This record gives sequence, C-alpha cells and structure tokens, in this order.
Amino acid sequence: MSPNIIEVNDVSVWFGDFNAVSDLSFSISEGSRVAILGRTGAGKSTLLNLLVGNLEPTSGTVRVAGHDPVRERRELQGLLSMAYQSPRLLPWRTARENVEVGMEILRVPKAERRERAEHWLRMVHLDNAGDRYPAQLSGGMRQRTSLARAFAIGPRLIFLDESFSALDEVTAKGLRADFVTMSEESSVSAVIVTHSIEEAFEIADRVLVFGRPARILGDFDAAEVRRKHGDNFLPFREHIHQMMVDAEKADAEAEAKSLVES
Amino acid sequence: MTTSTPVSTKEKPSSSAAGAPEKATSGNLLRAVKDKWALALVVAVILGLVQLSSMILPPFLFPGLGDIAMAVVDILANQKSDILITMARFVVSLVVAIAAGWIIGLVMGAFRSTVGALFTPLFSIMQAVPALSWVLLAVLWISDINIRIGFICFAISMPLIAIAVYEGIRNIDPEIVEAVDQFRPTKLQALRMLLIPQSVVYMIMSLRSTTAFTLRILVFAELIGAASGIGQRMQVAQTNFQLDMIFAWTFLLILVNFALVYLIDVAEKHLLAWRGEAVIR
Repeated sequence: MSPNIIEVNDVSVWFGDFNAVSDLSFSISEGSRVAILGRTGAGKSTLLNLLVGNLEPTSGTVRVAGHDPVRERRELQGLLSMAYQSPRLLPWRTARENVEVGMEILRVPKAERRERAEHWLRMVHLDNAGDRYPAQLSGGMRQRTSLARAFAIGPRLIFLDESFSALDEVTAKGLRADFVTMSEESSVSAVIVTHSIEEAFEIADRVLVFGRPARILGDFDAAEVRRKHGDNFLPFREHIHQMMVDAEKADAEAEAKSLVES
Repeated sequence: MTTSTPVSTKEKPSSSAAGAPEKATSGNLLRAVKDKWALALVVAVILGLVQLSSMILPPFLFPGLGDIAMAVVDILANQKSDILITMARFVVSLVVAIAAGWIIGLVMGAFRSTVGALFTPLFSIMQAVPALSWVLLAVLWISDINIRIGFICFAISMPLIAIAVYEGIRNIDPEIVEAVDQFRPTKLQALRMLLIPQSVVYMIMSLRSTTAFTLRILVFAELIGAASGIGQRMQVAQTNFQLDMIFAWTFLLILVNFALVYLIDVAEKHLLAWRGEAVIR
C-alpha cells in the first residue's frame, strides 16, 4: 500500500456559530485520484483551503506530504499545485509564459522551463497556441493552459477545484480525458473537488461523498462503480443524489429541532 | 469511461482580442475612415472660423491664416531653440515624475496599510493645490530656472502617476494573486510577476492625461518664471501684441500634443498588446 499523501484527523472548522467541517477524518494514498463530491455549501472549498494551507482547522490535524500546510508552508513549495474553476491566468503573459509561472518561482532554468512548458502545452493540445495571450484564447483553451500550468512544476499532488464545471460538456469531457492521461503519465496524486456525480466517477479512483457540514457520507471505489454500473449509470447516480439530499434533509430537521428546543 | 479526446471544435479563440494581428475588417476600416473624416472636418471648420474672424476683425486682433503660417515658418526658422528647450524640460521632468511616481505607487501598493495610508492623503492635498500656487511658490523658492520648472511639473504630475499606479495595484484581481501565490513566491517574485505588470496598465492610462496636463503647466510656468522656452516666447508675443505669433505657438503646441498622444498610443499598443478590447457595435 502506498504511503498517505494526505491525512486529515478529527478536523472541525467553525466560522463563529457556523460549523463548516465536522470531525472529518480520511486519508489519501500517494498516486491516487480522489474526488470530493458534494452539493454547494458542503464545505468542499473549506476542505481545499485546509489542504493548501490557506486555513487552519479549529481542531484536529491536517498533514499534506508529511507537512502541516499552514505552519510548514515553505516546505510544500513545488509539491502542490492547483487548477481552479476559472483559469486565473496572468493576462499579460502568453499561454506559454503562464505555464512557466510556477517553474519561474521555483527557479527552474530558462531552457528547461521552456522545454517543460512546450511539453505540457502539447499534452493539452495547445502546441500552436503558446504565443497567444489569454484574451486571444477561448474559455476551454484558457482552462487547458491552467491545467498545463498546474502539471508543469511536476507536483506530487494536484488539486482541482471544480475545474471543468464552467466548460461546455464536449470541452469538459475532452479536458477530463486529458487530465486522466496526464495524471497517470506523471503519477501525480490528485484531489478533485466537484459537484458533478458523473465527473467524479469518470475521472477518480475513489469518490468521497460529502454531506453538510463537511463529513463523509460515502466512500466509493470508482473503478468498481464503473465496472458495475458503467452501462447503466443513471440508477446509481440517483442513489448518490438521494444520499446527499437525505443527508441534507436530516441536517435541516436536526437543526430545526435544536432551534425549537433552544 | 475516459477516452482521449482532441480539442473540441467548439473551442474557438476569441476573435476580438487586442494584440491579435489587426485584420482590416469592413467595420474597422469604416471606423478609421470616419475618424479621419471627422478630424478633417473639425480642422476645416476651425480654420474657416479663424479666416472668417480675421476678415471681420482688425488684423491686430485676429490674424489671417496666411499671417499665422508665416509666423510658424518664422518660429521654425529662428526660434527652434525655444522649442527644444521646452521639450527638453518637458521630457526630463516627465521622466523623473514617471520614475518617482511609479516607484512610490508600487511601494504604496506593496505596503498599503502604512505607506499607502500615509501617502494617499498627502497626494490628495498636493493635487488640491492650484497649479498657480505651485508656480508662484517655485518662483520664490527656487532660483535656477530649469530646476524651478522641473519642480513645478514634478509636483503636479508625480502624484497623479503615483495614485494611478497605487489604484492599479489595489484593483488587481485577487483570484490571479491566489493563482500565483499557490506556488509560494517570494515578495520580490510577486512584485515582478504581479504588481509591476499590473501597474504598467494604470501608469500608461494615466500618462494620457498627465502628459497633456504637464505640458500645459510647463508652458504656463515658463510664461511666469523663465527666460527661454515656448511659454516665455508666448509672453513676449503677448507683450508685443503679436497675435499671429501667439496663434502660431498655439498651433505648434497642439501639434506637439497630438505627437505625444500618438507616441503614447504606440507605447500602449506595444506594452499592452495582451489586453482584450471590447468592441461596441
């Protein structure tokens, strides 16, 4: 069994009276692709912020590649990268220069930087668009550039924060396929935050279904699900959807009850 | 479940992006022709009004186009040095103001709660001081003419540039800051990758108004407190009631202003080639 790249132990996060994450514990082994699936407000972004070191838990511990992401922020340099829902490219840099951003910060020599940028642009089918500025690219091409930027530093762990959700279905499907190929070729671990059930089970090895406040409702072997339900995914999709809705209902009822009691 | 899929045919690059090689579309061409015609029309109307006024009013109050043209030739033949002196003063004071304003604006942006908070009210006060006050104070404070004029231009244009750069940095998209921050850059790397490029946009945009304003103030300062330069020559022409010379200098200053706008356009096209440009049809 591969060592764990992420370990989350008994983590809770409170924003004042609001409980965003509740006694959350899970681990992710190195080299795996794990989807965090949940509805809006399920604390997925809060979890990402905990993992990348932008937020400290109220209680519990988070370890990423063996480090505390808040206190040992520097030690994680070059180990993590992220692709967001929007491409977030620097508008004054060409696509190639955007792919080079992380490598530049890591002080990769210029020639190597250029070579690696070209490689990752080829991987996302943008080999002829390297000299274009973001304003000259389509939404899908920008998102491809953003993905290439995340892979180009050669990280051990990539986070995708709903990176395909703003794209049309055809573009998103192509990009998801590229992402799987790229992550398999580079043996990178990945945490994919999404609200799309299809997307989660399409690209991940493992799917964690989140309820609100962030806690695990289900932990699925995605390959197994694809094997069992690949031909007829709809009923399984409904099952997952119902699981999230029921959890939300139960939470709402519990909350109303506690309000009445208080 | 996943298959390798080529780039979707739906993924078409933006067509209206600035920085893309300009295509002579019928819309662009029409706009360019319209703009030129509009300019030509306005110039023709102004020249017509000048000539008409000269025919109605006495020549010492309103010279004709011929007299003005002769005065322009005279200036270009005999008073080139004054134009060069004014231009040299203008370039030096503007370059110093840009350099200082840019650096101060960057420092204000990098340390918002301290330097930014301190300099913002200071520059607001400086901007509220009337240009005439700066000129009169400089005449009394500084004996060297060139330093005096440089000081006036600096005091007026530097805060405009610094505030524009500061505003630019404050307006930087937090999402792209976060995207760069994920790689854990040093302060210096963040300055080079984010703050400086972002500030260039606002600096160039502020240059459009600052250059024209600085030139006007410079000529005004020369008029009051200099022994050479365009402003001083205009003051002499006014004293001698040479309206043709005043018109001629004004004409040349307008040309200089147009040339400056053109140069800023070229700089903008070169430095901000990456910007997408919205087209309103």
